[in-house]
Amino acid sequence: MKSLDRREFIKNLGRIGTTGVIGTLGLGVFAYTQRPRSRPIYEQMHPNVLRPPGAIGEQDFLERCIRCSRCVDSCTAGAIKIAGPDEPHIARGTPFIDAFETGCVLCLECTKTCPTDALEPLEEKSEVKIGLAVVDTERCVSHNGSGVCGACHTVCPFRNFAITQGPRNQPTVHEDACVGCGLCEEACIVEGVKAIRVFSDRGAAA
Amino acid sequence: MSGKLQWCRHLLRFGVLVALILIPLLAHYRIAVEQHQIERIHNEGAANTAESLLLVVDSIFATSPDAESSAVSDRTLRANASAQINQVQGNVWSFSIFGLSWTDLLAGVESMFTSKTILWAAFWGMLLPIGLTLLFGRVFCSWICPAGFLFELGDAIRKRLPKTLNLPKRRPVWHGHKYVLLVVGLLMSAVWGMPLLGMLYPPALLGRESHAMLDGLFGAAGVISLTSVSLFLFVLLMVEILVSPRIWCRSLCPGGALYGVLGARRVFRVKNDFAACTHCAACIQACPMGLNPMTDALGIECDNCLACLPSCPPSTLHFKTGIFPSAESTDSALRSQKGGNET
Repeated sequence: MKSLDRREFIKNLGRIGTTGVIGTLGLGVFAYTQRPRSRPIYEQMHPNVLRPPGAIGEQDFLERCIRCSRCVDSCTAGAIKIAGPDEPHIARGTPFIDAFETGCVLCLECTKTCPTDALEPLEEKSEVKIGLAVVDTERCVSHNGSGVCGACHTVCPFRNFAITQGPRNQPTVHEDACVGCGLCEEACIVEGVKAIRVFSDRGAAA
Repeated sequence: MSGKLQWCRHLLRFGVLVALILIPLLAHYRIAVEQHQIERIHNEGAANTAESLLLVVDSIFATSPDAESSAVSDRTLRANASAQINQVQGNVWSFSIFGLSWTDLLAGVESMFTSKTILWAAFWGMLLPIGLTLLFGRVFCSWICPAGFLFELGDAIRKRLPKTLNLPKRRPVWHGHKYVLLVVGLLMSAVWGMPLLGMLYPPALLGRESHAMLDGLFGAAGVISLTSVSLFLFVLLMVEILVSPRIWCRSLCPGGALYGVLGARRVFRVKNDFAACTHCAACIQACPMGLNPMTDALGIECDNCLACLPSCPPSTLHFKTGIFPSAESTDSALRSQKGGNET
């Protein structure tokens, strides 16, 4: 009986060792395949990652976010998307905002539903800091003189504070008031790469 | 009575599986309502599959009971529906339903490992599963987990496959692998700073994949898109059916390991009345986890699915409550019956 127990014990040690080594190697390879990769064509249009409102620093965000997609379900605008195979430069399964398609309407539902506080609860729209809108004066029709537009100014939730206009509707973004919601980028009429785009300090392949 | 209980269990988990598809669909309907797209679709008719799906949902929510008098406008009905839909978010990995928040134990613990901090928000979400597990053990696995439902379905399919296929016999696999995987996975997640176990945990993957499928349908492509996750789940199901039934839940699932450890001293557990037991071993055949309810040596693996109760012809197996399940009786049972939980 005693020797049987001992044999069982040694056998179990062997099993633990085998699973441990295979598990460590397997998960290591898996983690390597899941890392964000850069993709130049995409980055030309979306130079960096926009996270939903209230998102904490990028490294902390990646560690805290459990990839549950509750923020996506709570989003009233359909702005929050989940990074899949089409977005190899964003960590798989994490939420991001593609302002080219849809900007954030600042309902702040996602900040309240996040189960791990990867999105910290916010009360005021002005507390949001997704990024900063930047105007490309060469592409903007009001700036380069090819037309009079003002679309970005019209949709801005902080109109006349975050975006002000010149006499021919040339937009100017004010860093202290702009929350980076991306509604201006969504509304921009310029074809291809938009004339006003939201940039964040979150690297494309953090 | 217990047979009915099994149907309740299957129905509950099937409901969870359906909810995984319904919740993202309703979320898309809510977006259409909030962005005032639904009126346009309603008036112009559906242009693609996604829009016709939205119209189906719309016909459920926005049909006034008295359309003639129109006491309640479609607009109000849709706004109410949107508010109701917002009450249910997420999937089994983490969800909120009418103010109640549930975060899977593995999700919460793993995010604490990856971020190396105590996340109180995650802890509050874990209170409900912690309480349930302390009372009932691995009850998540047998009563909620949608992947467990699929695997049990796979087991049922395997039993109905023709004998001529000559499938490999059910071979005992050591149950302890999952605990090793849990520890290794948590440490590796902390090292890599990303939730690795969450990317391999079938219930979380099912929720994520159904979300991705609907997002593909509602996206620019307009078709249901499958990712490598579907392939992984399919291969896992095929392994379960053709090679080793229920191997994931029994031996590999890190989430099950966590629930098992927490539910080790569970209050409600299956007990055998040794005095009247006829040792027919029908319960051993019935146990989907490959345990031995006859000896009482269920330990931390039993997920309280209660499949053994209706299988017991003399009905000596029963459901017992006790704040401190007596360890001696289990030990003496082990000694007298001489049986491990290694099948």
